[in-house]
Amino acid sequence: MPPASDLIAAFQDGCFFGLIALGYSMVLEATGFFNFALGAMVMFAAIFSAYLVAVIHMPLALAVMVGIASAAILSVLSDQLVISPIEKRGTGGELPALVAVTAVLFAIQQFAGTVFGRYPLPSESWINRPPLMWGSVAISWQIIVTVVITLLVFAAIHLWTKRSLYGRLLYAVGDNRNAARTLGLPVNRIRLVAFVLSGLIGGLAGTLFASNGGGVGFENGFSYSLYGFLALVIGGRGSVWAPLLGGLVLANAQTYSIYRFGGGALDFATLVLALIFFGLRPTGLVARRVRI
Amino acid sequence: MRLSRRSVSDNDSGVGSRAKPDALTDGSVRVRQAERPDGRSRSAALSGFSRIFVGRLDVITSIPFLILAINWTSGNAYHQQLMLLFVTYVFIALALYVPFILSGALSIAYSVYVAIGGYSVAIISVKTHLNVILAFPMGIVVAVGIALILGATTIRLSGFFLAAVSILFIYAAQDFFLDATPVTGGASGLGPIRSISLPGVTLSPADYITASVIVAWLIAVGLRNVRSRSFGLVTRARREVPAAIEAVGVRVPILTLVVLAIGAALGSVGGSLYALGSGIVLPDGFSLDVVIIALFTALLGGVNSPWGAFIGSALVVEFTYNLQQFQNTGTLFFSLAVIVVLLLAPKGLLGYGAEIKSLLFRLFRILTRRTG
Repeated sequence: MPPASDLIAAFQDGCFFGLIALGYSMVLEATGFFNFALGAMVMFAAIFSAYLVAVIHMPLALAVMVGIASAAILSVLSDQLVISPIEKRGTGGELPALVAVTAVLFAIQQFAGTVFGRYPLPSESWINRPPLMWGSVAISWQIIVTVVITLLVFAAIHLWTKRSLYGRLLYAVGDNRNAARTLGLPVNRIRLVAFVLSGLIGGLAGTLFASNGGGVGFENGFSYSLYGFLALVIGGRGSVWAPLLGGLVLANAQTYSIYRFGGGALDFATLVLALIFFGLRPTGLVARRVRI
Repeated sequence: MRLSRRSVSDNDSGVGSRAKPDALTDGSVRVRQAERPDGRSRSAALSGFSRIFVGRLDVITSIPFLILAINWTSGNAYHQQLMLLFVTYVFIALALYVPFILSGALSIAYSVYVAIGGYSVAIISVKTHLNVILAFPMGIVVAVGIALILGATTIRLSGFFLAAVSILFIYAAQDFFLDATPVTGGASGLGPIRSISLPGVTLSPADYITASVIVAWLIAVGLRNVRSRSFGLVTRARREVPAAIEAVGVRVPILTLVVLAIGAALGSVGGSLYALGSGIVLPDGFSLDVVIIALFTALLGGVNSPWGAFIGSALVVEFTYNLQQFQNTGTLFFSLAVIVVLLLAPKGLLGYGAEIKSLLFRLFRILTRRTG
């Protein structure tokens, strides 16, 4: 078994991947589209908030809020300016839209690199207190904050999709957009809500992860996109909580492979895990049950 | 056959356009018929010169550019570096032309195949006393083998799933090139690379860069011809309606493996030529970014013919390396340009050019009819 401190770090990573996957699933449920550029927005929120604190000397809380808002704005803009127009054209299958989101991802990364510099910026922890000791294991407050906020976000989205009008409409519209439009449901507004929520959740994930202390590089967007996608596939779409489960499985598998085979094994382990799940269980751990 | 050619061409690249060569041929024929009210047949109407010219206009137009490029490269070290970069992007873009652009297979691990071609040259020249020319078949065999294994493992995957697996494969392969120091030289790479031994000839890196440009041109001509032959039609149909080609007796999984193998082989040849031209092989030259940028170049230039790869690659080299004012923001401008082109000219710059041409053509016909 890896040491407890590694397992705790894996738990934190799992929360991070899970939040990105939840961000993906919002857009996926509402529009059937997979917004692969989300990883870049996560990265952007992280770097932007770190930049505001380190260079502009903005208070941390305000910088985090601005960072999260910037991810939401980027999410909506990428939909309105790029994804929607290309999807409306409706030709060429998924390829043009896929290339377009990859270009958006690239453009956001390069924009962040140009504006905020090409070196990782130092970032501040949200709570500056000595770590909590549990036996001989030190648990930093930032990890506790990350886990608590992640659980709160998942619980909030769970309640939102079950209780609120828009939460239920999200699934209704996603299941059959044409039927939803015929019924007079506000399809476009639901789409907007989904992209805003996805951006907010992604932005929160980024700012939480950046406060870990390691700093975030502008080129990390691609791997965030990829890990979030894997977490979503591993978790499945059967429940709101499934992305969190997927994220935790992914992060633990990565931690275990590094512990067992060394640092170079991370990418190999991720590849093998992806092949196993894509090939044998593409619906994920928590599959949606359909009653016929 | 005529019918099938039309139907596939109409669906091509998902924008309801007809293939460029077809459009050219049809356009010219229509004019000739309009000019000749005596109703003579097409073959009789076309003179010997026109028969060579019609349908091959793109190849003939490209020849002066090829000669200019070779001239521009010779004797200038800076130009040679730019040309090496250009031709590497062209090779990756051509490697993904058949599998990705024509057949829509999202297996995009081309940087790995390029790396295999490069490393096979480096390994043979540094670790053995064999003739370096053997690296070409060796690289092709290894690259095709890996492409087939990866293709067979992921045969049931498509879309994002396939793209994600191949991206993870690129990450894993990069780790391997970095970590397997005894084979690949690790982070410091492998070099210096010996030249190919040919009796009575000594080739310099600059000669290999020139040779790469010529080989890339030949491959483009070949791909352009394949595109409208039956193999190209079947490949293009695979992207749109796989069930239809399965129904006419072509096994889709086998076809998928064949197109992936073609891509891997072309990528490997490109990698080998790159290694000979640069003189050293480093692991960080084969990143995911290189593939994504090559993919953008193909789409930016135009998907309806392999020449798009050349235009796109020239633009990316110009933006990201040559132009001083874009030094740090070149990739940003390039990715923004890709988005703009995808939104405004989904067929790429060449497709846009073809549209302007056909517009002028129609205008010309209307004018001549009026005045005539």
